[in-house]
Amino acid sequence: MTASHASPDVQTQPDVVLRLVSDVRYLAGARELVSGVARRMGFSQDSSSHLALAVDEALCNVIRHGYHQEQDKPIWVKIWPLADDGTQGPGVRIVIEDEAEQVDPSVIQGRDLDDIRPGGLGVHIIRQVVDQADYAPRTGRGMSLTLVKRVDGPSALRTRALSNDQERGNSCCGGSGCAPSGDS
Amino acid sequence: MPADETRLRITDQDGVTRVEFLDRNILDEASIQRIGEEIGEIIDASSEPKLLISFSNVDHMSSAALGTLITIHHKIRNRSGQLRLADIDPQIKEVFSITKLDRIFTIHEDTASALKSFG
Repeated sequence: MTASHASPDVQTQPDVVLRLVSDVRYLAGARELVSGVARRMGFSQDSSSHLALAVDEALCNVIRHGYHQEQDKPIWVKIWPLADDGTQGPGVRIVIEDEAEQVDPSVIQGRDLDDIRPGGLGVHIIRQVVDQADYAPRTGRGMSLTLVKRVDGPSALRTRALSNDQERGNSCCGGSGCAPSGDS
Repeated sequence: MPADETRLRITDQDGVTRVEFLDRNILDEASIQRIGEEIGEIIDASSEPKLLISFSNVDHMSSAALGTLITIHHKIRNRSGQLRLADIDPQIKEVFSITKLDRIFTIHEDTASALKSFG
């Protein structure tokens, strides 16, 4: 991973730019960077982890679907802090860019979680843990994914609700196990 | 990684097949596919498989691995078997919650409680 200041597709320079190659060995470092930056921007531990999870899933998708597991292709992770604008509290914008084949953003969709089958979970996870996730073709080549998350935005509220559920023991995980409807 | 190199530790305990992962990160497509195939072979070798998958060594896994777990769940259900998951890191557990897969899988805190739960 190397630091870079290239930012061809945005008006303002990001505070942080991470350039990595499309090798899964570097995902842990990217997650730690995003999580650490988010903590210092005021996000809770859970929200910071969720943001890192979204970036991780996005990077996995680029490596798997964009670059077809090729390990030497470039990916950029760019981070901008978002100020409190009076209507929305502070937050962060993260843009993930690649030089992979361009696809129609409308075909990048998660799936109905009640349809239990492999595939489509990554996009669902991303949309669940951030307030906004927008795919777009980059100028020239490649795709970009813009993630926006506010400290007190809708996704943070979902995170708190999930944490509260787990603290109350409503989660399926327990010392004596559980009895889900689809036990196999 | 050679294609035939196992990424699993498989042990048998009182009729329950316990599967543990050797990798701390379950991310890349080849590993996930290989893991799915190996566990699929275990399931196919038994008429009513009892399978415990322990994530004690796993720090991170991608949603692609969740897809493989769903396939394993379907296979075991089709053979009237039983599947338990255990020793899952809290952050990975959260991914199960976000994707609502905690409603599908039987998840235990640890291996001991999972082993006790088999009928």
